[in-house]
Amino acid sequence: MPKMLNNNDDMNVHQIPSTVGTFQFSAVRPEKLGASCYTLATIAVDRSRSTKDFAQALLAALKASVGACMKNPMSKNILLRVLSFNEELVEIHGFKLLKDIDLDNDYLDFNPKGMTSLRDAYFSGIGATLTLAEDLSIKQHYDVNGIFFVITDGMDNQSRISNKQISTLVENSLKQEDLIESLDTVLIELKDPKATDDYALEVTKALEKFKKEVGITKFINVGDANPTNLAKLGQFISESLSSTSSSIVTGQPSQPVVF
Amino acid sequence: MLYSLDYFIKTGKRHTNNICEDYIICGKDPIPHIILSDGCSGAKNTDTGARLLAHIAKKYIITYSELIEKGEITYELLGKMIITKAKKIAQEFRNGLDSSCLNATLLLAVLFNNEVRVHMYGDGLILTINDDNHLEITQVEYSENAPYYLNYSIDPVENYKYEKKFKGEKIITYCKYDLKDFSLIRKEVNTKSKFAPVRGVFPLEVFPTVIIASDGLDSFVKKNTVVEASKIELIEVLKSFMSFSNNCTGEFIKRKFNRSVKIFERNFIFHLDDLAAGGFHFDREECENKEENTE
Repeated sequence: MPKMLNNNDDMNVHQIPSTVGTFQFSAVRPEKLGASCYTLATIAVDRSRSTKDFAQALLAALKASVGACMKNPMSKNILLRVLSFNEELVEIHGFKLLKDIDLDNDYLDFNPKGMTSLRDAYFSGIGATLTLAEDLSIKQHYDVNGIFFVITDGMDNQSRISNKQISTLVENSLKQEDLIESLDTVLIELKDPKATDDYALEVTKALEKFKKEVGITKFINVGDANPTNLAKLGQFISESLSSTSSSIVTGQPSQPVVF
Repeated sequence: MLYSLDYFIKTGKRHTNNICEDYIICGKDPIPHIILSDGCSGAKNTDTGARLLAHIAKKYIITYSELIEKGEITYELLGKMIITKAKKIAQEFRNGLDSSCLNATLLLAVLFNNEVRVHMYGDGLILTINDDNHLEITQVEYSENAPYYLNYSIDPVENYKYEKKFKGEKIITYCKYDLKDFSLIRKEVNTKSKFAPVRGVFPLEVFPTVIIASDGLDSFVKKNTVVEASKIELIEVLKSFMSFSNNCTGEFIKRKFNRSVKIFERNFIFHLDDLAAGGFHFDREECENKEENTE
């Protein structure tokens, strides 16, 4: 179950339905939400040992991306959750309004080490989004859409959750009418600059297979995890978030963002 | 006092040019207020007239709030002040804006000292949920579906035209329902003169939810075929629209009304007339929590 780092009286803790282990997440209390529609956004970041060489640049990209979103006029309609994963999931913060995020104190060093539980992270991200959507949309009539970014440099080698469990969760949830207006999922591959081309190809194939089996909307291969590409990734994330929140506010389909 | 204030507005299916003739203003400062005006479809530029009436009403409510609160500016006087000013402004647009554009209803809900004061000029609805979880509906209609607008009261020509065609009887229907199962507890129908005032005082401690709405809320029909539609009874509409969740903070009316309209439309049920509603909700629990924390 994810370790919660950032919790206070304004947040509720929720349980994601699961037959394997306990998956929890936190979210701002609905009484704190002034608008009638929200984008439920999640960013999950790989902090396994292999990300050590570019972890700082990745952190900078995350901060820049969230910082850029804060300046967007639709920022008050975004609830953002950020988690990091190696063999353990850590919820850096639960679903929070962007104005309540402290860029300097909420996003500290990832301290990369350990293995990769990609499926568990994906399950946590998607499960939290759908569970919160049920609470906000079905029970309290908020209009919600969702977008989930999972950033990794490698294949899963540690998870308890299976692909089948992920696709079952999504299938069962989406049977509910009015649950969520749309849900975009983006799997982002970073290449460790020190990794061989053969290994990188192996990772790409594994991730494409994962994408297909669990029904991920989009797969992006960023290439080398260098500062330039990571900065570009940060921009892609903030533009995608803005487009998605604009969609829930205006009722128009979101504009596709190209990496 | 901790309260929420919100509104909802949507153009009716009948208005194919997409011009909404309902208008609503809502705000907390300096005096919490909701002002709604529903323009008469038969009058030209009534969308503009409705906006004019609403903004002038707001100006007077703010300027004369103390006198209104004390009752020194009465229901009748306030109505007259608003329509007189609105007519003067409309006349400045000679050749562009006929004063018949002011043929519109006007509903006011203002919060004074934890009480919501409602004035209704024309037709419309007042919906309240009281302490006992009862839904109370006060619906004002006119006998020939021809509301007697404020404009008629100061325009002898409009008044003459109205009185020649219509009796102008005000039909006030009051219903009380138990929100648990929507069983009817009480119903009263009264007929009054077109001049009879319609006003109410609703302490938020007793009526935690107070909503004013245009008659568009009672214009829902189910489209059975391309040419045939059947009317949906008001209570059937309110079973959906007034079933708020426990969280009535923020945009509580927009959330509920948007969702209800969406579900209705999915079932081919549409409101023909423009729909506007605005309301207050007093959060007793949040208030008590806050008091406990400060003790």
